[in-house]
Amino acid sequence: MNQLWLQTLQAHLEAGHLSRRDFIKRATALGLSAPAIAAVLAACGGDDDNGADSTATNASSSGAAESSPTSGGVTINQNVTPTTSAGGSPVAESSPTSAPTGAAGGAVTFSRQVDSENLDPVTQDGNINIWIFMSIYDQLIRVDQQGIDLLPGLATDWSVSEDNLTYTFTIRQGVKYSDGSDLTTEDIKWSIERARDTEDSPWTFTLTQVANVETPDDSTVVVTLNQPWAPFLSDISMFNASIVSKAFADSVGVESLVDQCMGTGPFALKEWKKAESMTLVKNEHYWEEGMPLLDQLTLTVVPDVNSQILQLQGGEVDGVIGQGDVPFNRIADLDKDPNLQVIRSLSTYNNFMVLQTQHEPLGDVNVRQALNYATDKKAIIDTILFGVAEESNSFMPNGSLFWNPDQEAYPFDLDKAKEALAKSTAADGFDVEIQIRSGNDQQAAIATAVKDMWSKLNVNVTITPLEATVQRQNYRDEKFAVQITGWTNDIIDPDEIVSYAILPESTNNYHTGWQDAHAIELANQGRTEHDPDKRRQIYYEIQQIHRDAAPWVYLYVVPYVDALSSKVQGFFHHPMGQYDFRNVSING
Amino acid sequence: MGRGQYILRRLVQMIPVLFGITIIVFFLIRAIPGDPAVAMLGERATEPAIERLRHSMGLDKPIYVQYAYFMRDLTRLDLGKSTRYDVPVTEILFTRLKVSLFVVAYTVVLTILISLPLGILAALKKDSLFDNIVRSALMVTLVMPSFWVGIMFIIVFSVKLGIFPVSGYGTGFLGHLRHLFLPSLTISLAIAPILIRALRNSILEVLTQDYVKSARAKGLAERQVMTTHVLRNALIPTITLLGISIGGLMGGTVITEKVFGLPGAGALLVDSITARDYAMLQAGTIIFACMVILVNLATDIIYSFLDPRVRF
Repeated sequence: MNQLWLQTLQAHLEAGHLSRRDFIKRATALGLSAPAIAAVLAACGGDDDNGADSTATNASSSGAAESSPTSGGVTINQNVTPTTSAGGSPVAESSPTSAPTGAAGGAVTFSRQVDSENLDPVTQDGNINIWIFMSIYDQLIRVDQQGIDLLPGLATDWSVSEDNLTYTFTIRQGVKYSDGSDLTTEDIKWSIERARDTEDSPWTFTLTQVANVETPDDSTVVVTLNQPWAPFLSDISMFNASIVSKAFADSVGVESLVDQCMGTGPFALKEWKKAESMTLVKNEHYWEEGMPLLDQLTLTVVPDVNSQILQLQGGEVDGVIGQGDVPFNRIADLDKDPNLQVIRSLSTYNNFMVLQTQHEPLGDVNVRQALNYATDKKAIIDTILFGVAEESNSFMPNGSLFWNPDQEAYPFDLDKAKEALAKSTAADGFDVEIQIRSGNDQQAAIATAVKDMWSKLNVNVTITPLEATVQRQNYRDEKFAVQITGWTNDIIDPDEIVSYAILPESTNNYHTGWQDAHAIELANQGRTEHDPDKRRQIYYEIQQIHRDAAPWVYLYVVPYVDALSSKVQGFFHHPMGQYDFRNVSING
Repeated sequence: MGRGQYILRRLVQMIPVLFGITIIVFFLIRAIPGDPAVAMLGERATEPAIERLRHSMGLDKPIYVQYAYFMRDLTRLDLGKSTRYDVPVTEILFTRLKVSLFVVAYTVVLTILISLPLGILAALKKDSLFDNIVRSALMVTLVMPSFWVGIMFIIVFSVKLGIFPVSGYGTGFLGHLRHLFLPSLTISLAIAPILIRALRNSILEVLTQDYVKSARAKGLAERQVMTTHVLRNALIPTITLLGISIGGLMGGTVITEKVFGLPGAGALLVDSITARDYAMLQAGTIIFACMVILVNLATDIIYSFLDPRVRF
């Protein structure tokens, strides 16, 4: 079976997202051969089923001193002050691969299908921006390379008061912006307050709990919350809390942060020919010793995927990077090319269909469950995604913090589907429209497969391809019955996805219109509860409610796929989505 | 009426045509559903943010008022600001147009270099093996879709043989010549067959005319008969076709631009539709329209040089 898939699972295993038992279970379910499974297990070490959970997790964590392992889950205790003083610098711990190995200097060119639009961390909306400016800006706290732990960023250390209301951050000294000016605590205060207060920002909800930011001295920032807020440290690691030079913003005007940047990150924006290319150069003043390795990084825009791949094969670019830029049907081909490497990275990229519950008969839970039972996720993964995906069992991405790996996914079961439909208000079947994005082959293929699967229930699907903006507008206006969409986590805490999927304020629960009073109550509890075990129980329960109410048809989680020239080393695609270019180097 | 007067009159005639184009472009773009503010801010954008952007873009005003503002700016030669990239549209559009125009010019040169000799030789050696080969080869290149030809060229000449770059447009004139050769050749291959056939047929037709017979009868060298009598007359329909093709090329290079990853204006306009970048679309369409009109004018003027009988 699929080598790619095995490697993806292996990554999950190594990251501690999967126990060895779960690994075997999933690998077997996917039809991987016993010798292949054994080889991976041998390579990953460990000696018994239960021990693997905690050892794998701890191996990668440094910020959290305590972990409380449970089956297959990942653990974090966000209230523990990191013990960074012992055992080397926090930087070295921040990434297993962080000791630069490649040669310094040189320039690489990567291509993307779409250009960024807005590099202001506060007002932008979209991975195409976030994934880039995370190399330009730093945050107080960063997420480790497994996407499950928090590490020191611009803050070297932090402590939390007894009442969980006051967070005191010790700020790293000697940090400079790419223009050589010093990072000040005033910049941090200003950046966090701007992220909280900017009306045009879609992300203010992550920081509404911040009552006050004070800067008692040059190396301390004290944040006071107006209520205990468990996800706070995660929230402060999110992109909108990026630290921007206030002096720079004042000089160019805040509105110019859309296309001008001044951060303390490893790279600085040198030139941006919009819709054509963006050039990042090394931040000569970057605080992490020896990083970044590259002098220059160019991101070109090539809208056609075939041209992108031809450019890569012809050596014109050194990589094709992006969210879905490398089509799955080309992976096997590219893998065979000795001059190329296809990198699959652990992601939180969950894909699903949203069911608009005001759209009859989708208001009936039996109907929604029937559609879930009738959807053969494995067939979709095998035939459309070439096996490069994992079935989804929850609204939370597989492997993410407090995701319940043991929750039963809707099995593909036509009898159960028919049974559920028989109990519903639409027992004889119904007509329903799936809106897809025109030109998106993958969505078209999935919709076509689903049309066939649902027809067994006498559900007659019409597939309507819509131009991207129209599709988006319909989604916002809730003028749809079914759309295919997706999600990636931006923070490790489940609160972000829960805000979108359970709490109606931000997007009316993915514009499904579905609400559950108990789930909402639990979601609010999850925000103020600081005990990891209790939080896990809360989020497990929320996942169960969402699963049973079925406002979504769960589909699959896919890894990020990037194709690079084999000359490129040290590329890392972070589980939170951003590229980590710090260690990228080029040979020859 | 002299040639100068004629050109002037044609230029004046452009004004109502362009006026009509502004109306079509302006209202047609706005007839597509999908709010530009949402397209720009993303699906998670807050209502107040969308309201503010709509206001700053003037989208909250009645549509006739928006049109009036647009026309007012247009008369000041202000083509507006791109909503997507937040810079004046001319800044992006003109750099992109340079690439597209270079491709168009290059294509025209290549097309002429291919069509003229082949067309003439095919006509002179009518029904010979050469004529048959040219004609059947033309059928093949005519039916091959450009995007496929482009990709094949890249695979063979760029990836496998490494003779030409895969994409991009290079720096400097020579760099452009090298980088844009394959894209221009790709487009040429789609146009040249039509021109060669037209040229071959019109040469054959002209060859049967009485004035060719009398030219030969009065003892002119065959070469002179061909150049001054045959070609000059046979070229007129070919030039008309070329003129039309260039007009089509102006906005029609988009597929080739995408395949060769060229930052051209055609690809930019297509992307602007998705982004609902009204200003960019309006400016691009109007500029393309102007160029098509000017190319047609140029074609008409060339006639007058080839055929003194053409009167204005």
